Amino acid sequence: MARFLGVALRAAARRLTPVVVATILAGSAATAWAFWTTSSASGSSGAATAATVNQGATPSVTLTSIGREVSLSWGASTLSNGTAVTGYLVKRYPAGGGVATISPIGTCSGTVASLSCVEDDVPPGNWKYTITPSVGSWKGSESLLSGIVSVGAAKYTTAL
Amino acid sequence: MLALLALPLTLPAAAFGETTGAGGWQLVPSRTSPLVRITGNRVSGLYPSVSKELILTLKSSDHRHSIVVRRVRVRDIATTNRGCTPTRRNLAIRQYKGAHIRIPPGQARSVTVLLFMPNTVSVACERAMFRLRYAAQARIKASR
Repeated sequence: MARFLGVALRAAARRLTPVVVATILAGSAATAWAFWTTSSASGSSGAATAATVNQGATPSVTLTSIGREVSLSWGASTLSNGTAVTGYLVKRYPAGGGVATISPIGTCSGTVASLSCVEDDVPPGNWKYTITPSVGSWKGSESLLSGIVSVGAAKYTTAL
Repeated sequence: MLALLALPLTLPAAAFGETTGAGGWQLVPSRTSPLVRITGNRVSGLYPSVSKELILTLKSSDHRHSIVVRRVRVRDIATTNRGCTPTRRNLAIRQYKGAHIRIPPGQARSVTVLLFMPNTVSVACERAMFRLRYAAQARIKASR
């Protein structure tokens, strides 16, 4: 008898399961929330613009009393939104034209964070300088060439 | 039986409707006419290593129901400069992670998203305009 009841209950459970599931689902569907997703409606878009680095100011150059040392200074450069740039690249050109370079001796090599620097061990000759403002990997336009600075040959004095 | 089990999986994506007091369903605007319009302030002057706030305004055009915005997403989809791709290397977007936003009928709410230009940004992105697309996922509360 007990075995018969067990079989009958299992059969009833199998028959009722879909009804129970349907009832639960019906209850869930009767909640007061409907669902939808808004996508890009007209007007649901915008833009962000990047700044640009302005051109550098022309540097002033002077030969220091040491002789083969050139001192440079320049005005601050900004981005197009007025923010100050974070560094400057300094280059030295032969006055008659040619390839730019900069001595590793002094404070003008690499990215200069200040508004002045000093280049030491400048070879004899006539030179012009430029600066290029930079922010991260961005660079502004190179400044105009400075005035000419003439560096003479080194003089060696031997004491006899 | 399987069909019954599949029902709750398919309903949320397809049910652009709401229950009414009479127990029936009525349509709410579909994807082609959303009830939340998102606008943002114009962000300008981005440069390497700087963050700027993008303030989004979510305006509900539904004057009968409150809306609960569950998710807001901003994507950069294009730029105006060749070589400046709309990727995380050039413009990172810190999405809104705050609580759900309840918008009363016909009103607006604002959320802030952060735009960050990393140092890895390409030189080609100077002066570029990044086109942004805003999307939201919301629920509407039906009046019963």
